[in-house]
This record gives sequence, C-alpha cells and structure tokens, in this order.
Amino acid sequence: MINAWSRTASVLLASAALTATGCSADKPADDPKFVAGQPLALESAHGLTSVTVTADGGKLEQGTNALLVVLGGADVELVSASSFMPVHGHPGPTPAVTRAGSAYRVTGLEFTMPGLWQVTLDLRAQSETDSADFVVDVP
Amino acid sequence: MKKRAPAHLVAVATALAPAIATACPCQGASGAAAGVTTEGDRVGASVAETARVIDGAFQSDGTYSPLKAGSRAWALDFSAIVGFRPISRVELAVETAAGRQAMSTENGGTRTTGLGDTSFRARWLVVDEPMPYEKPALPWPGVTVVASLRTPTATTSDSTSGTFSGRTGSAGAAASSEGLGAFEPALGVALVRTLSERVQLTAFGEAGYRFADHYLDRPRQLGPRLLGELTARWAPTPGSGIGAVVDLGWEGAVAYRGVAVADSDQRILTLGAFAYFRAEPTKLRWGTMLRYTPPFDGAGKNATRATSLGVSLGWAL
Repeated sequence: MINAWSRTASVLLASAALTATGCSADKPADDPKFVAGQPLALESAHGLTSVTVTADGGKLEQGTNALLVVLGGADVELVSASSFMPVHGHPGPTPAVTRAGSAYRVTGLEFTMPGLWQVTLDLRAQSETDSADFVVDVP
Repeated sequence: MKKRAPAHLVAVATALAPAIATACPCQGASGAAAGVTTEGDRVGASVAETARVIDGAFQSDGTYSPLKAGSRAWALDFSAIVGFRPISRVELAVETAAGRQAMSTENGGTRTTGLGDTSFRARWLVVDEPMPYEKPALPWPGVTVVASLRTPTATTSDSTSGTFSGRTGSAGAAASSEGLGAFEPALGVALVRTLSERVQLTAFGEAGYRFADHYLDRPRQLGPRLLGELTARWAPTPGSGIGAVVDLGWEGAVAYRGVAVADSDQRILTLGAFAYFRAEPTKLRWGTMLRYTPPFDGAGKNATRATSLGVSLGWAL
C-alpha cells in the first residue's frame, strides 16, 4: 500500500514538475535491460554488428561479475568495456577484456552498489568504431 | 533524489529557528519557512556537521537492496550559513559546505575530500498568520516564498577512476552538500499554521531546474527536482522545541549527450526528527536533526538509502 502511494505521489510530482518547469524531457534512450539468466541480444549503436551478452554463472549482482560477449560481425573486435551509474554519476572500476575463442570475456566488472548501471562495450572494425550500451538493475 | 540547497542543512537550520514567544505567529516559523534569523534579528550565522551512512539503494523498480556485506559508504559534511535581513520580512542567506566521503568494497575503495556547492537563498514572508485576537473567519496560514540558486562550486568529480561520486542524492537523508555539478534555481512556498501555543504545522513545496553541465566530462542534463515536505513542531518553552518531518523528493531522468537515460528518474521518502534549544539570554542556538529513509520497497527509486545525523550551532543578532 505504501508502495502504491509512493508511486502515485511520484507520478503526480513528475507531472507537476514538467508543468512547473516547462521542461520538455528528452526522449528516453531505450538501452536494453540485461536480466540475469537470459542472454541479451542487441545491435551496436551504429549498426556495425549484432552483440549477444550472457552473464557468467547466470547471475548479475553487487561485487565482481563476468560477461561472455559474442559479436556477429566477423571483422569486429571488442576493444574495451566500462560501467557507469547514470543516476549517481560515477563509474565502476574498469573491467578486463580477453579473447575466448570466437567470443570475448569481460572480467572484473564490479558493481559497487545496487541500482541502475549502464554498461558500454567499445567496438572496432578496421577504422570504424562503435559501441553497444545496455543497462543492468543490480539487486 | 543528488542533489537543491542541501536538505539536511535546511533541516538543521529549521531546528535552529527560535521560538520567540509561544502563542502567536511571532513565535517564529518552523520547517522550510525558517531561516538562520527571525524577524527580530538583523544578521545570523550557523555551522553544521552532518554524518551520513549509506546502507543501500533502490533499484529502478523501487526494490530496495542493502549494500553487500563488506561494503561501506559514508559521508561527513561541514556546512555554514550566513543570513542577513535588509528588512524584517526578508532574509538573504548564503551557505557553503566542505565534505569528506568514502566508499569501500571487498575489492578496494575511494575517498574524496573537497568543497561543496554554494547556495544563495532569499526568504520572503509574504503573508503572516492572523494574530489570536483577530479571530478571522478563515484562519489563513503564513506564506513564505523561498527562492534559491545552487551554484556548482564543489570540487570536480573524478569521473574516470572514482567509484563513488558523492552525488548520492539531493533530497532526504541521502542529500549531499557536495557537488551537484550544475546550477540549480529553485522556488518554493511554505505555508505555516500555528495551531496552539505550542504546536505549529508547516507544509512546503519546492521545484528546481538544473541547467546543463559538463561536471562529469560529458554533456549532462539533470532532471528537474520537486520536493514536498510536512513539518510538525511542538515548543514546550519559548526557547526549545522538538519536531517531526516527512518529505518526498523527486528528480527527473538524467540525460547524457542529449539523450535521457530510460527509467532514471529518482524518488525518495524521508522521515526526520529534530530538536532545538536557545540558550537565553545569549544569542546562541543549538539544533540537531536525524533523518532516515525506511528500507522498504517503494520508499525510493534509483536513490541511495541513508541515515543522517546533523548538529548545528547558530548565532543571531
């Protein structure tokens, strides 16, 4: 009940805020949300490749995590990865990226606290660069 | 809900508001209508120390999760306010802060120390409550308009290596006086109603807008902010009082490089209690404020949950 009340109040506050400030909110970026236990398939931002991400061990949690990344483009490589809390405005420690056969392993991906995290995979194909972003709601 | 004028500081300042005489509007306002001075003062100042312990955070669906065992986050803010009344109904104030905050996990941690933001604030008592002998048909509340401008004077956040920015929120128990990173003008209205010689209620609503910034070395636009707050004060003597506060803060979605991050709006519900004491006949005042966000699902969204305790010492002339 408190939850419902709080959400209702939030909606009212949000409506009032937009009215009061005259702010036209930007269109939200629909970064796909990565849920533990399910592979995430997405396209890179500039369409360079398809990307499939799975969580090592099938879980995403506070602390250190690892991802397995498979890229669809033959010439595309995963250069680096990073994480960032968009709401609180701070990054996580930089994870390591290693080649694992036809896939890549992202290790040392540390979510230092619960909440909404944005993970960015930096991609490269010859002279072109691209990226793939997704969000994780860390419990 | 980072970052507005630091909520805890306003709250502590509230606790400093003296009760001049119990019985009528002249006993002084409580809640957000209170400044560091009262109508009878010319200048005033206060310093406050606030400790915050962050216990966890709310996910984007409102689910609460505590920090993992072995992880710790805390902050210590030192803040100062100076107020001046050019005329009795208007207070002009400036406040600034410095702080230290830290987070540690099983794999390491970060600590930062730096200056906080600086806020300029004007309070204008537009309409006073009726005096008891007036016995109006409609007992209107006192109306105070509060305008403020928060300026990003804080130490620039390290967006490349830090694991904790200090932007734990700008409302409620998690409010930080450290870097919001953006200019924030805000406008609020406080309605004050004195119910009896000892009891006073205050309702406060405030809206703030954040200008675009590059605080994190990338184009950013923080969402607008709203705050609703209810305060009840009981003043057993002219120089002392206790009270309770409940507030609900909301912040819109944050945008980077012109694109808002989906589901990144924030919400936080905070409960608080305060006490103040005026050491008559001196001009010294003392206050303390405890703020707490309950750890149940829905009490927040995308916000950190924290408990904070502030103490303050003020003086007015």
